[in-house]
Amino acid sequence: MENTKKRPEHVKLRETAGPAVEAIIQGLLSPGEEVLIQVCTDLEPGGRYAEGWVVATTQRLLVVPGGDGVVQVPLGQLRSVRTEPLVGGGRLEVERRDEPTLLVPYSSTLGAKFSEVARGLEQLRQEQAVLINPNLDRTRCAKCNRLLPEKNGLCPACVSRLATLKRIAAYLVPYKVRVVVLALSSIIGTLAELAPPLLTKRIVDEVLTPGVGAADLEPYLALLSLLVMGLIGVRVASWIGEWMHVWTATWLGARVTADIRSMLYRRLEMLSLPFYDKRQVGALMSRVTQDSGMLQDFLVEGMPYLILNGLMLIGILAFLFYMSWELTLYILMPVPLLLAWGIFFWKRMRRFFHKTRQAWSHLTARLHEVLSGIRVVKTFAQEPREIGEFDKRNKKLVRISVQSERNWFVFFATMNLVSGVGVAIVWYFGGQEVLGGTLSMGTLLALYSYMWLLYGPIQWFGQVNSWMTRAFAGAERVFEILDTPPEAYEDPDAVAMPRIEGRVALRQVRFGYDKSKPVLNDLDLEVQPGEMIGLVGKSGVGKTTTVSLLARFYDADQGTIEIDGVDIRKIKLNDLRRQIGIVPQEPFLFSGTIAANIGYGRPGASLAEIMAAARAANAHNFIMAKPDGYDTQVGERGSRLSGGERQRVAIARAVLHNPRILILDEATSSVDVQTEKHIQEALSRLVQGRTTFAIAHRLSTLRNANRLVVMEGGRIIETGTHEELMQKEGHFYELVKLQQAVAEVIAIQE
Amino acid sequence: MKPFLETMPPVIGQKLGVAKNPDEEVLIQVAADMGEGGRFDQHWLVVTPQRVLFVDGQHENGTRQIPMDQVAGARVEALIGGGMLEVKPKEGRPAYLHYSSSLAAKFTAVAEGINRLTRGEDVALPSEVEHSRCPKCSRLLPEKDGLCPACVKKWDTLKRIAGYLKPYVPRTAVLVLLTAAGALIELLPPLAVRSIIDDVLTPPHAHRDWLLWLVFGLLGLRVVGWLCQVGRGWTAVWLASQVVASIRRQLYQRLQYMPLRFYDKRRTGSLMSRLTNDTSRVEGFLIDGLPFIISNILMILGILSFLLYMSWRLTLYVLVPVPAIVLGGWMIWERMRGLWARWSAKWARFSSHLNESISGIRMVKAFAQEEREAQRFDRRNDELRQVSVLADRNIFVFFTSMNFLMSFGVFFVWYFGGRQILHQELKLGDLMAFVSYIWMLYGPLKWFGELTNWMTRAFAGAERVFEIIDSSIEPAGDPQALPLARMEGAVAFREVHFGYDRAKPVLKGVDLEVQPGEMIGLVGKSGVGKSTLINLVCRFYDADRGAVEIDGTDIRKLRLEDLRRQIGLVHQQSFLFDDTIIENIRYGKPGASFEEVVRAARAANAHEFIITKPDGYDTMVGEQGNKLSGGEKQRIAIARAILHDPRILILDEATSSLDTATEKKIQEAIARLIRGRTTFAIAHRLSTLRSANRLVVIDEGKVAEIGTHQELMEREGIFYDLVKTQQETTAVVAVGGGKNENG
Repeated sequence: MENTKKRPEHVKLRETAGPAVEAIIQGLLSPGEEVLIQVCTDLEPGGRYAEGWVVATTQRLLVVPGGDGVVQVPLGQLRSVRTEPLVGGGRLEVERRDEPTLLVPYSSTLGAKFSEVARGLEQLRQEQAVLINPNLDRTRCAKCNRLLPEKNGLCPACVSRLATLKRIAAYLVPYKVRVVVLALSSIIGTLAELAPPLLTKRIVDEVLTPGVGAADLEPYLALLSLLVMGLIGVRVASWIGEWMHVWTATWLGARVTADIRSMLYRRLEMLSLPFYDKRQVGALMSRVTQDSGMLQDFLVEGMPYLILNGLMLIGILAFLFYMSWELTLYILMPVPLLLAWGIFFWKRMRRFFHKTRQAWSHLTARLHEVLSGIRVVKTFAQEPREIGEFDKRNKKLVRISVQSERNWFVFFATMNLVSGVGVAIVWYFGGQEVLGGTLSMGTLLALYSYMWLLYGPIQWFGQVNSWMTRAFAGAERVFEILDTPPEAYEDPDAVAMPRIEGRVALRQVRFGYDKSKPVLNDLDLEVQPGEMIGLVGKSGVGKTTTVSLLARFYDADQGTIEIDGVDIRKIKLNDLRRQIGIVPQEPFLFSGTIAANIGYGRPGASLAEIMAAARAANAHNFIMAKPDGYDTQVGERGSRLSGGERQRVAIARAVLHNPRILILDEATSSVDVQTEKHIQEALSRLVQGRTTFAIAHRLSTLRNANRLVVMEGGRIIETGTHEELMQKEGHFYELVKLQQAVAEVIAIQE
Repeated sequence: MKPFLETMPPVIGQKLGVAKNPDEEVLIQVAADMGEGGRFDQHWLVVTPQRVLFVDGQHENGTRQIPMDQVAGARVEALIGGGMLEVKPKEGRPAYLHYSSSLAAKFTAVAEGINRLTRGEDVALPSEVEHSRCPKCSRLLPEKDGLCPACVKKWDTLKRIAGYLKPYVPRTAVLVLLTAAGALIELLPPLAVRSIIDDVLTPPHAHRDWLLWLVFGLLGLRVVGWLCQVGRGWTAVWLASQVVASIRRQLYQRLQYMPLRFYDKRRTGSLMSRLTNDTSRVEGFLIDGLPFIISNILMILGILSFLLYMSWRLTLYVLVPVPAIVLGGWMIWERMRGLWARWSAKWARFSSHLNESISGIRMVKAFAQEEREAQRFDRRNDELRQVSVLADRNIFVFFTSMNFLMSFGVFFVWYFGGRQILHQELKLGDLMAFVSYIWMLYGPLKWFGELTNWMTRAFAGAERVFEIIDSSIEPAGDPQALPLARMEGAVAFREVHFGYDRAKPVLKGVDLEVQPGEMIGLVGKSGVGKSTLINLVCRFYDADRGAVEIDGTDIRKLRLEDLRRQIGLVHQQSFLFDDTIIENIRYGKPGASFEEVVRAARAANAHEFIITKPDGYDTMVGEQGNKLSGGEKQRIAIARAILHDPRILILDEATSSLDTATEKKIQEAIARLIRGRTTFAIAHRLSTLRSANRLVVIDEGKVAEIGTHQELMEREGIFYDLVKTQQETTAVVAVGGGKNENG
């Protein structure tokens, strides 16, 4: 057979250098020479910071150090290339045949990059294709170079506010009417807030000042009544406005958040497994809970206040200027101070928040550990030590939180002080004007009222920046997921396959969770319908990976997998998954009843069918022995059942699911002997008539397989029946002997 | 408290006296709370060693007895909203007793007790019944056997918290002074303004030259006020954190020394929240709540005085909305409590479904159930949304209404005050002062409503913390305890009875003698008591009856630290701390030198894999050791045990579910570890126990068989059966092909 494999192309890693360096490099290249790797380093051999470049081409290695002078090494002169970690960084060591070793230092931020570079250079040296991972984890933002809060995450500082705002606003579109109501109520509310001081001004100027001691009080009393009615009326209007606003804002906020959560969840479910592999459950959950919660806060409280305070500010300033532009200027004097103070303070507080949060999690992490592992602590009688450790962290937390809390007090107190200065100014200069007759008393009092109304929104605006940043960062994280493309569920070209025969073929399959580190290399296998295949090999060799590909949790990097002769990538995903069943080693049960769990694969299954499946799985007996029988709650992840019971429920689930292709992943171990017997009986019933792939460490359990497939280094190295392989005395034989030897080790002393 | 001997009302007591002999011992005396037809009634059940009596609270002739030897059996049956106890005589109609679900646990125990009596055994009732309702006020408890937040005595808790301030009396005094001063200073500015208006600005401008001074006065007051606020904050924060840090420290110390039984009953999460949330609440209360109360009380008193002084009539008008505000405040928080509880419940449902379906996404995909999960999610999402809206609306409506009411106070002042001015009974400055004071008055009033809520939560938190601090710790500090510097390693069990729940014994009379240096293999079905036996040796629990002896002395008489120091444990799921490998190994012997650690690692076959890691011994192992593989974790745990160098070693199912090459290494390591120590090993794999000196087969809570592997096989008893079953298991799958091979 001819080797028809195509050699994969080089994976390149090129960073762009400044024009001077580019010129040097380009100048050195000969025609047809291609640059494969071009990366910068940030240290020079003396250990100081300097920019240097390492360039690998199809013919040689070039090192352009921070100083000057280019070192060239033809590929043939390379003996080995590796990295050596040092304190605070590392060093690329290039061993050459006829000359001393070349050393290229770099700081630790570039460590990951140079590991890949070294790998790539070694591959070049061995005349292989360069197969490295050019997508290194980003720890810094590409735009502003700040450290990212999560690897490969978003940079909260670079989030484009306007774009995010527009996008959030888009979610409000279905509720146009309510949004209009909200806007209206804001306007009404604002106007209603602004009116009272005008009315009280009139009371003072037209009723109280002239009317004191007047002979005929009647007209004054009448006017007073009228004006007070006016006050009440305005207040009622404002109250109505508030109601409208609150009613609508709360509903709208909750609704939009629920919409976003729902969308988020559906998208999350549809995403492929590689996405899940890279992230923790906690992080994903917090997208749906915290981040969308932040959005809700923003929509319910933030945005309305933004609008409200904005309008108020404009309105107040308008009135103030109208009444007395000179005094208004005096009033505005403390404003820049307030704003500056607000901004300065929030920056400081952000640092404190961060430090406090760290001190807390430092404390609680250890706490959680120790409480979970209290047995170990007691076993080794280490209580005093743990107490000492706790004290240290406790003290540190106290120190930081005291600092942080004290800052708050200083902030608020100072805000009050600055406002107070403003008030004093008004009384003084305003008082002078009243004494001079250029200002009426009523106006002065109205000014005083407006001033208090003014400082509120201004303080608020001081903090709005930091708060908006957080809300938007949350929104962006949500959008990040919404924008990720889902699994190919709805590919219109997909072939429907309502009934799978069960013929499986793997053709030259190559796959790696990280493309540059393949786990499976050239896997070839053909399986007939109904065959039971046993996958054997050391742990980590690729057995679980192979079956994950069969269920199409991942797609092969190269080669194809065919079911009944059709490439699985072309089969409708729903049909495929429906007809493949998995019984994992650690079965995952959902909290609910036993019956619900068994019926998970087939919603709408009747109790009779469930019981039949349970019988086949040797589970019926223990289920009936429980007081609630099939209605027994299994607890979170099935924690209320024992290990053996969980496995049998999972087997029953698979039986009911009735798949054409069955995958058994290390399904029996660590239960007592009798339970194991039950489980194995159940499994032997389960595998009848289905194409089965079974993975187990216990070689004896595979004796029933039609064929055993022995894997090593991502390839299949032996296949055959149990007998054939034992006779061959090859790899399989060695594995069996080893297991028997293990069983005997303890008997060494005999 | 004896939960099974309740006090009978005299009427019943009389009937009882008639029915039984006076010198019969009453073992159980409990009331069931439901009669036939489901009404609430009182029926009593009395059990003596000789008979079972049913005494009816209502009817005259309502006493029925069944002699104990006539009782065939007792059982409980769960019904809707409650249950039923059935006592069946050998002949004749059964007797029934109905009860509501809050008594279900109790009657289950009663039925078991009766059954034991019929078999001639001890009634062995549990000493406690789990409470799900508060015994005092009958509200549902937030945690089983937990605290009832409504019954928490606020005053006592406050005194106790205040107790932590004792070391800081001078600062506390300063705090109180500053708070009072701050409050009083707040009251002065309106007076200055009043003077400005009346004396300076109103014609005839009597004291126009006072303007500057008055304004300076205002400024000065502000500055002093600022000083007081900052000073108060400075001190309050420091004091509060000291108090809370002391509480946390005390709590943690207590927790460290609590016996394992305590940990069995509680989840780690709830203990964590005691240390974090509950203490934070107390801290928040001390910083903000307490000073708030003091200063606001002072302010209210001060304001009322000024107002009354200026115009008592107007003051009355001002006070009109007050009752409504206070009442409203109180009512809303009651309502909110219910709403918030509902919200928490919905949130818990929402987030647990979320957590589950994301953790189990592989299963969801494997069964192609994404759409169904999405629908489930939508339902919970919607429920949450509804409660959310309800809660938010309630709060907002409350606040807006309160504000509205308060503004009426201001309108009254303008109207009636205006009239008074016109009638020259009041001056304008007074009026303005009034308006200012009103705003200062109404604000705190609103928050007093919330204060009760806040205080309740903070105090409930404090109480949960004190509950633990007050619990009894392990008997470590017994001065009478005998020291044991060096154990030989002879272990003996003498007639040991034990059950995690006293009423359900796991060990029922275990007798065993082990010589120093022997390796004992513990064998038996799962759940039969092997791990329990080991827990007793480590003295994680004390035997209910009988004694465990080490070197001839009852372990209860030995010093706990000496005991624990010389016993070592290697578990199947080895627990490692998130620290370096070397620190984890050193946990067994703090202060061990690097050479000692390496020697231990070599003996554990761990050294070889440790040095291949880039950081070597300084490699961080991750939370619970999750950065290492299963085999690596186990070998580190073995190294730890080797370094610990115990005289008695316990291996709990330490090898299974790994690939065979690693398993071989581990078994070698264990073989080295065992040498020269008294060892108790539990394993499922019978073949691994072939090197044990003796095998002990446990069945039905007792030692059923003892002997060497050979002896037991020859005996063809329980052990023989177990071995055969395992061999069959490995053979079952070969039913088609049929060779029998020793595996």
